[in-house]
Amino acid sequence: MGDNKILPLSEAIRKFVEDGDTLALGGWVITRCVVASVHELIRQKRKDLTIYQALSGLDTDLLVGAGCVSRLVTSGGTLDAFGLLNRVNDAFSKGKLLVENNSALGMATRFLAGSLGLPFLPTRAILGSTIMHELEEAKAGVEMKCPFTGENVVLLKALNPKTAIIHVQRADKDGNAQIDGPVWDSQAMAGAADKILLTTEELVERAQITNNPERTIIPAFKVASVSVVPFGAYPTSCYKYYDYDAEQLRNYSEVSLDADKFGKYVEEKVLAHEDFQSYLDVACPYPRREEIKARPGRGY
Amino acid sequence: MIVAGARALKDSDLVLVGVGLPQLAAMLARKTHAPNLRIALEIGIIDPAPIDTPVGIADPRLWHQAEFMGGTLDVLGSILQRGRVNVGFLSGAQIDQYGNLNSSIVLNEAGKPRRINGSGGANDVASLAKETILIMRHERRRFVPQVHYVTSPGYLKGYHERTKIGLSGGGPKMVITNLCVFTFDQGTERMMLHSLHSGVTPEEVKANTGFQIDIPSDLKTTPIPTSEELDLLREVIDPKHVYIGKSN
Repeated sequence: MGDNKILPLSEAIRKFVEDGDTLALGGWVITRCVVASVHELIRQKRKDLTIYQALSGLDTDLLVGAGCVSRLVTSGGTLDAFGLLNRVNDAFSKGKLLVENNSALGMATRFLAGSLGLPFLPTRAILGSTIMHELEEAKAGVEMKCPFTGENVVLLKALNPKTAIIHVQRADKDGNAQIDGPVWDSQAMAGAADKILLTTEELVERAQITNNPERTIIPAFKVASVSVVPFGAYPTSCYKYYDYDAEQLRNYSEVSLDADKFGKYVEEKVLAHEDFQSYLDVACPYPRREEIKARPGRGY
Repeated sequence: MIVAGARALKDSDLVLVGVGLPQLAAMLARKTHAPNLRIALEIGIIDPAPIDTPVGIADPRLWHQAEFMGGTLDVLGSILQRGRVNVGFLSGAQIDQYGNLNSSIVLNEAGKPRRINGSGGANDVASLAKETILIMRHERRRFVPQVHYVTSPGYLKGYHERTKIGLSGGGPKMVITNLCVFTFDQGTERMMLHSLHSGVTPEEVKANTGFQIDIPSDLKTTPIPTSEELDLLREVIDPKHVYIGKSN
């Protein structure tokens, strides 16, 4: 029972992501970001992508900075205390990136609509704000009076990304995935997408899934590929596996303020490597990996 | 600011917090007068008990020992939109006289738009919490007559426009800054000065505010933090002093 969808990440990206695609990225700010996948998208020079992500983070900033993205549908994003998404903000200032602003509940609702096969779902948020005007202009939001209660609500157009790329803690070879910790909108995102590409910390046997089927957050049937990439979210955190690397995030934040420095960063950390493992061996050698590993009593 | 925010929370409240000062205020309230205060985070967390200072909502330190870990819809939908959040704490790059916040796009000196962090759950909290408390650093460039971009609606253009638009949340109750506390006039829905922090003059408030401020005849002084509150903040809640010590 169960297919074998294991692929090297480079092959998964080559096979399943084309220029101009709509991609949902499964990270949130600086946690469980799909960094390995983004490195590969940059190496393969994907262009003109539309990214859907409720809270944009390191993965999006890298991808936008590398020139792969023309449109970003998001509620905003940061690197938390490490700084803003400087490459996203810079691309927006220069007119190179179209940003469609939403609220976090708005994004989750749009993914939910998409995952339920509905054309829209309403929200009570967003009314009266500038986000409302922008959604109206983008034809993604419409005010309406509820036919039952007469209350004002906003209808939000469903999001159905062609592909969702999500990093998970455990998956079997068929693509049944377990996620530890908060899932933010990963579930609805997976439900809304036409297909899903997974990177996973650990590959597990089917029995681990079937013994705990209620722990399957993403069922396998829409998963197109499973790539085993330990530390695949590095330098962002992966709950119960490892902390974020504060030093690397500080460095990235500083570098991302300047286009030339960012260019060099991409050269050194992404393009110079043939795969993510090679980048990790330099950026996060074994002793450092031990330092940031999650352990009880560390408070994270 | 943190202490004033903490004191505004009640024991029976459910508060939705972002990282930084709001989180510290909620933790302080829990350790002092509101031990039953419930805390929810938009990433899908209910009632964490952090033991180390987190850098943001995405920091697993902030999720430590949570009683519930789910998704955004569980918190911003089933709790916030469902009408169960008593207090939402908000901040922003700019605030205007009707308590509208801008955390999305500011204009630089040349009038060019510059993105900052955006809404995240801020618009949702501003729209849907029963009431909000706004925490702002008090600077003239932040306190503007009208924000360029309404990320988080306060009273919009005032005079009950918020009610007419049909937002289900009640709107801002107070604004806490490093200089003073504001409340809102019931009729005009404009910000009005409520109390000055100890040692602050009305002139200082006016100089740092980009719109007209009337000085009420019954202007109060904000009660000062107790040593117990300060010790809790310094030793227990923000042991790394990431947030406190910056004139908070």
